[in-house]
Amino acid sequence: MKKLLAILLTLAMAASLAACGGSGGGDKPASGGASSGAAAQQGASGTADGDARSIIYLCMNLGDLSFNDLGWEGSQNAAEKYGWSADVIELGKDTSTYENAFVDALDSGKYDLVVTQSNYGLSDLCIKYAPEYPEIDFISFDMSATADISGIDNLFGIAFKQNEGSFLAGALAGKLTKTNKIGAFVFNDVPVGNDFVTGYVAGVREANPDAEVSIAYGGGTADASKLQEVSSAMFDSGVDVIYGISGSAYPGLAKEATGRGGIDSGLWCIGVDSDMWTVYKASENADYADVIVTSMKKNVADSIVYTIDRMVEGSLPFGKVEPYGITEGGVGLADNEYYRSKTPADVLEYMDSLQKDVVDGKVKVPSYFDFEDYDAFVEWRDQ
Amino acid sequence: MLDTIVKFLFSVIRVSTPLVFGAVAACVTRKAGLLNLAIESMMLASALTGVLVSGATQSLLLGMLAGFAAAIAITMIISYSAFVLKCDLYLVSIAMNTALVGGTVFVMYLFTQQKANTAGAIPSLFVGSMELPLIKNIPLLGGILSGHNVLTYVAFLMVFLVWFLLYKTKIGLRIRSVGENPQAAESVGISPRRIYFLSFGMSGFIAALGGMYMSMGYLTWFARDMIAGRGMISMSAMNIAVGEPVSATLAAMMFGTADALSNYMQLGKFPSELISMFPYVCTVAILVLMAVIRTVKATAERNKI
Repeated sequence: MKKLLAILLTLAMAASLAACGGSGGGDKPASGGASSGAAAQQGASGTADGDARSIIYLCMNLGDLSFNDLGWEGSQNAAEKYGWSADVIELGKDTSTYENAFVDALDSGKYDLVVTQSNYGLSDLCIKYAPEYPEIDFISFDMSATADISGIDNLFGIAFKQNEGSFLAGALAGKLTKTNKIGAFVFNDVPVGNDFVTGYVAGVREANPDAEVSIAYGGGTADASKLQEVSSAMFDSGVDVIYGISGSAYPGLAKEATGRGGIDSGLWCIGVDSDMWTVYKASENADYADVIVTSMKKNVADSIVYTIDRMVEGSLPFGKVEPYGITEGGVGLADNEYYRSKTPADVLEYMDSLQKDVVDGKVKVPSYFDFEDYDAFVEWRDQ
Repeated sequence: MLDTIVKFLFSVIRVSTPLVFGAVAACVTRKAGLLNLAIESMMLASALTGVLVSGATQSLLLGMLAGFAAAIAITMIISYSAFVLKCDLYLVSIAMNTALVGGTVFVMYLFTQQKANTAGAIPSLFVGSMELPLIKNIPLLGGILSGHNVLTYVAFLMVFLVWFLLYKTKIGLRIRSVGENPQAAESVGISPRRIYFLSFGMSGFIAALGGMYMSMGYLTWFARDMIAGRGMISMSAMNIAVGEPVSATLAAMMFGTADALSNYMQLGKFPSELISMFPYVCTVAILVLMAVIRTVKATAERNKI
């Protein structure tokens, strides 16, 4: 009996480790030193020849129907397009283990192209280790546009102009609101999150200078109950449009808005990262979809494929962070049938012309990265 | 303004419910002389099991029974290791908490192929809310007390039940006597081990309700790490009250108020670090305050003699 219990407890611990730690790197041991060395050399010289490469995608965890999933989708699509292999490592919530897992993946010798998001210090790891592993190429998406990676000639950064997309979301919110009170929930008080806020607040001020914006910040964890409570407090205070900038916690907002009658009761939600109306519509929670009038899409998947296309062509400028905006197809509002049917015609017309103005450069969208420091941003946000 | 206060107090009760369940669950073992560190894992296990089984069977009753079973199974593993095999109770409890943070994700992935949450992956059932007859017509009070989830009312009922059990029944007397002095209790023929098993089992049952409130009432899906320290906070609520169910409930609601307040503070222009710190600072402040009050009282009593 004692032995049985010991085995059971060991199994429970093993299960916890397996779920927390990486799955890709841990499960499959490297296929031997000799072949991995060869693969690494191929990686260094063979990109232009179209040799088979192997992608390793690192993220916090899959299943958020949003940012993490989109990066994996993009990596898989690119791998399929070129007949490469792609593995994923889910690093879990404990960011203190990221560096070890990251280096283990590089040391395994199995991979010669690292694709990863920038959050949770992952882009810093790319910057730190790219020079040490010249045979591996790194693509980090969602980096801040101001990051300086010049001189690291095997790292390319994709920056999304989330401020441009959020500007449109803010303008839409400004036009939709009846109470002149608008809210947003941001996953964390970090530069990329505040870039969303900057665009959003600017958009509201562009479309409806009388409206008041409340910004709530999460603590960086995907806590749906937090978002539910915050959105409940916001709706109670008269807010009628909420932009939920947190993919994993989003069901909390959708549930609260659905419970209060959603769009039919004059409460609107704006989704983030993926086209959430379409994604939710296809899931078991289809009724949650109907509160999401549109989403500020970050076209992560397409952007990764586009970047890898350029890499294969040999035209990718490594050592640079490039911003992908509305013009490049990096961000934009999800233009689905639901958006077209629910939004009043005059607002649609306004939105289309505003988008054109942003693309043409007639309207300049401010960015968080233009502010001198955090305090300057806070002052501008709260004015 | 009045309307905002009513809505705020409503949200206090909603936020406090899982803490009340947790605090009352902790009281039962505390009265038997043991600290239940594993409330977190019991809540997590029942939250997940309730969602999975109710989704698979489309029966709320079966889902909830499975939720109870999961939490009680955990208490039994802990009790067996600690009281029969003589492992350290607290180490086993902490190991269980750690194991289940990942273990629940592992099981969730096995059954739903999702790793973040089950929202949209399985059609799980949930407990609805209800209006209280008569009370709902009272102005203000009706807005605060009526329209909560059924499990919220169960939570406050549970406080009374546990108080009754501990102070008005034979079994409660036995639990308390083992808590006061296990040797003395054994000398009159009460088996402390049996009482430990029993109190942990009951604790698991109550914690399971808290877990299922999280995933089948408050939210209607399971998300990884969704208990997020609530088990630990309810344990400190129990500690403030030294295991008295009614005062533990008040302490739990105090923490709930701090949490709800932090959500409402988001609407103002407070720095976000301050807001996320607020509930925890409150916890520490209240604990210190209670310790000071107790010390002052004890000193005063000693001086009397």
